[in-house]
Amino acid sequence: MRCRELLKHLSDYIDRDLKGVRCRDLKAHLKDCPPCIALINTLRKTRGVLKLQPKASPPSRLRAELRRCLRRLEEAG
Amino acid sequence: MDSETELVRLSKRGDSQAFSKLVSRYEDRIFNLAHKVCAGMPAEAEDVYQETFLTAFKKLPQFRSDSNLGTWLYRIASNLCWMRFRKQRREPVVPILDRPHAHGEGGDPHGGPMFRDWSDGPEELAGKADLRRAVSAALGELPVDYRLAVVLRDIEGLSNEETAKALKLSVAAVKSRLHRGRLFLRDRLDKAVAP
Repeated sequence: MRCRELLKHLSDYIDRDLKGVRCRDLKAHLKDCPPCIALINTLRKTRGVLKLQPKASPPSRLRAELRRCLRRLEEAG
Repeated sequence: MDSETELVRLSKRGDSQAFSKLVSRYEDRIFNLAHKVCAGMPAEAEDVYQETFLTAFKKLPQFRSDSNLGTWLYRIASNLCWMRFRKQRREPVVPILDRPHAHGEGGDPHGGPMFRDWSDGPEELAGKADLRRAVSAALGELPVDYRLAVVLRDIEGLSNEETAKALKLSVAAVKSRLHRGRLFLRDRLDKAVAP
């Protein structure tokens, strides 16, 4: 498997969705391709950084405003 | 604790108190989706959050009780986000995909640029304020179709199948957008990690 071919399958590989012969070929390629190993590692870290992004919560005034709007909708029938 | 099925049944009859209990279960997730997709535009994120639940309350009679309420809400919110950014529909420029010779072609498998690993792990990287800003800026640069796939899958933690339902796409289309989106973000973060 050449580097270019590997590019198509990187996300499937890090998500453990790559099966069979393609997965075996990719693993074999990675034994002897430091740039591709670095690419996979940094892609994996990118996914990890996204997962660890701080969660945003609605401010309390917005929560209260939404509930007021919902009550008005109910009253309007 | 009220069951979701019972709360949905009451909400379908227009009971806003019952619906508010459903809102409480999902509002943090919907707001986080809106906040990440409307990167750097807090007023837009607030509008998406509010419109999602007001639309859901009005359309709840159409909601099939055997469906997943969370996925249905994600679908409404994703569509509202998409409407705001639809003019941006284009493919993200990903150098290693768009310039084939940049990554090992023409007989030299390692002939392209030498990708380097980052010394920090995801936890260290995510803890850095400048990296968080870089992620937000990079998400803002990503066209909305790709941004939605990345946020739902990698930030909200939905499966490929759930993301496909939320975006009304095939699983193959979700995977394709996710892959291109991740490579785009990797490229941007690479510049931020070691400019």
